[in-house]
Amino acid sequence: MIGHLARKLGGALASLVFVVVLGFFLFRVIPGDPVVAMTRGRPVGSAQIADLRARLGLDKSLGEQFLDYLVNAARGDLGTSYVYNRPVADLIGERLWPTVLLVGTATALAVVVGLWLGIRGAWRRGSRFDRVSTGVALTQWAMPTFWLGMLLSMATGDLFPTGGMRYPDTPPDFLSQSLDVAHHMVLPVITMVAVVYAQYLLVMRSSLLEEMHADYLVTARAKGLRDDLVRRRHAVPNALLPTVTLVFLHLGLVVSGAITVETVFSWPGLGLLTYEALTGPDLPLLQGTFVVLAGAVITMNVLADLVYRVLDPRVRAA
Amino acid sequence: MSPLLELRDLSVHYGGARGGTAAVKSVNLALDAGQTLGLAGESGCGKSTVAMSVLRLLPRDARIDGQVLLDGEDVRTMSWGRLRAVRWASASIVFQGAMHALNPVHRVGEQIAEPMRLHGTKGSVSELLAQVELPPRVERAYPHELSGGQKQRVMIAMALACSPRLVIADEPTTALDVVVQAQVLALLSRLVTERGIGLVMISHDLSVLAATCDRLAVMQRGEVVEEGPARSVISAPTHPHTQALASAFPVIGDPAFRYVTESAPEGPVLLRAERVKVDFGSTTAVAGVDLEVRAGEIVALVGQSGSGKTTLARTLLGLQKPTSGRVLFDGRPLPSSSAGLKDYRRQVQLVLQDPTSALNPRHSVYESVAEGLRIHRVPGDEGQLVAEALNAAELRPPELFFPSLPHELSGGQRQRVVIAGALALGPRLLVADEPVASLDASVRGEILALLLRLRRELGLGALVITHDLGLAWSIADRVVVMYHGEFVEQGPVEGVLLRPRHDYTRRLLAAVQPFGSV
Repeated sequence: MIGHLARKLGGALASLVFVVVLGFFLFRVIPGDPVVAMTRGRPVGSAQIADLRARLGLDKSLGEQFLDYLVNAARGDLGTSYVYNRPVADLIGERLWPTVLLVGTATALAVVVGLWLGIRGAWRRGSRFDRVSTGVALTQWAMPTFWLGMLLSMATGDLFPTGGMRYPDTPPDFLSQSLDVAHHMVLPVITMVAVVYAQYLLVMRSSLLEEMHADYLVTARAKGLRDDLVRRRHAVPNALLPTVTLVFLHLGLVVSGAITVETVFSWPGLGLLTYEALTGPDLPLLQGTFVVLAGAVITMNVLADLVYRVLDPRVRAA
Repeated sequence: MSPLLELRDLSVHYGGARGGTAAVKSVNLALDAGQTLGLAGESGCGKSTVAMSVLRLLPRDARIDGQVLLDGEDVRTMSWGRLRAVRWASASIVFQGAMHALNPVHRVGEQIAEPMRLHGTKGSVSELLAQVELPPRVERAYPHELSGGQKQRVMIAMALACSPRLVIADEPTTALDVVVQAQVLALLSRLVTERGIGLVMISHDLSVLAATCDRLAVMQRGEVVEEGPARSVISAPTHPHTQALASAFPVIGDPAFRYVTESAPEGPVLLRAERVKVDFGSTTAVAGVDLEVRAGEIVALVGQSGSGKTTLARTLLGLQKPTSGRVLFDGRPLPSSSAGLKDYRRQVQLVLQDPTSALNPRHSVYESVAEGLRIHRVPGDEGQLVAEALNAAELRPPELFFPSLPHELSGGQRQRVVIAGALALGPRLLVADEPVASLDASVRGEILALLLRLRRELGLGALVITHDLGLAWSIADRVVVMYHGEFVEQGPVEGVLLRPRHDYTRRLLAAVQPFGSV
């Protein structure tokens, strides 16, 4: 067990190093000169531009820039944002929690809704409930996120705020602040859930359908178990196994998947930050968000592996 | 007093309320407490459907007619609540394939205790385990941590959990080794006597039923074609199907079951293993053995699972590197380069146990046979070569089978496709791992005859790996008995099987001869 954990963590660390290296070169390929972007609309002389380049380290050769980047990254310093003129690590730290709050809530809801609908649909395969719920889920999954988001904002009128995370004039006490944030979260969360729950539904449904013909379910019925106990105690725990992997892999991806939703609803999270960095291009900020988002996927992978081992005794033994 | 279980004019149809296919037709059977009733037949004859109908476990689309009386009460008309109360408490089932009938994510003890909690039966799991001769620590184990025989015992313990008066055992020993099989059967017989329960034993293997049953019913295409006291049904079968079933299980020593008529010609040595030893870490799977297979000779490698016979076969095929010793083909050591091994594997072809999983379900017969030809870039007209191979495997006319998918074929036909795939490459040696174990009794003989004909006509050598001594008796020239990685006995079939010298060979023989008749 310890050995396995060490191997997994080692693998994750190696992936992370690879991501850090890739992060540097990937964004050097993006067209656009950051210095031009930073000075856009302002009268600047060539001496000033050269000075700015030197300050940003852009006058050095690519090799030297890479070396600086590596040394800094190893110390946890992801550089300074060109646009915000602040350390990237601070910016990300500030924006991480709103994203975790939004994405975490949305994913938890989507998982619950998706799994529940998937289980019910599979158990009564081909019933009207199954057909309707699968059809609705697929339709929503096919919708572009931004389109659904805008549609919702328009449809609900003034009922819910359509941008930001809190009103500036909310009293500073905890309860009022929390309610305000929750109020702001309604639309982005509904949008995210509506789009992603279909995946959970489909995976849960198909993996439960695979288990439906399993011999141990006949055993369970022969023992005299009620139908819902057969489902809850015997079928679902087995069918959950493939779903868990998906949920965790998806959790990693969802952080970056929030880019669209956060942009539409101006939610001050990592997704919006990434979007802003892309328009620069703000190279250090892009590198930073890239590393953090990729790191989230890697972490979730390790977590998925661990959870899977808890759930499936067969994997534990191997 | 009404019998424990009585089936009156039981019929089961699948596929809709109107018509559909009849799986069981007008079956009448009765069983008293303390008795064992055998239900024999090939796969698809309806015997498992009968078993499932007793507890109304058939799929939704099944329609049951007639009466299923459990202690005089008709299962068909019970309410759901009453049915749930009857299930497992009055009658339980030892399902076919304990591997899949146990839930992989729950501990064994939990699964045994579940019906006890449900039906409010007192008792302890460890006592039940003790009854089936398992140590108490099994309680904390997961199914995958147990061997096949142990899982089967767990199933039996589970079936006994609520002290039912009727136990239905559906092929309880099919996947087990002969030695373990004999133990499980003895255990079931003991429980019948001790507890006075009624037992319905379902099997395709008459020798299993002969060993345990008082009465025997033989089913064919949904109908009971013969019924009577077990001994008389087996020793003097009147229905042709019973005779066919009985003759499909070879009696070792009976010349009628010895298909090899002429002795093998002294061909050149094709395959030779010299002091082959395979270690996995600190365990030794194969402990330095010598083996020879000549052209035109069939050698049976016999042993129970875990004896190392599969590891040895993998080593001979170049799939496993020996720790020491070497394997020679045609007098030359096995090549180690991948190109050399590829060429070697063309000459030595493998036929696996289960044709259903050996064939890609989405590949047509033509594709399956042609695949090897393409991999090895065999020159010549592909269509013609495939047709010839199918012809040699007696799938005629071959063109008719080209577009067929595996699920459209019978088990015997599938195994023929696998053999055709091997033959297409013009091999000189076949390595067959339990080639007939998954086949029905009546097709076994045909496949064995095919192997013998190939030997005679093409001069093929064959190494047949099996736990089935009857199979060795039927087709092998020589037999090698493997035990704990070593060859404990080898020689001509008649010598080894009729005059066994090693204790282990005797034990194997005793396990397959329930009547003790040789």
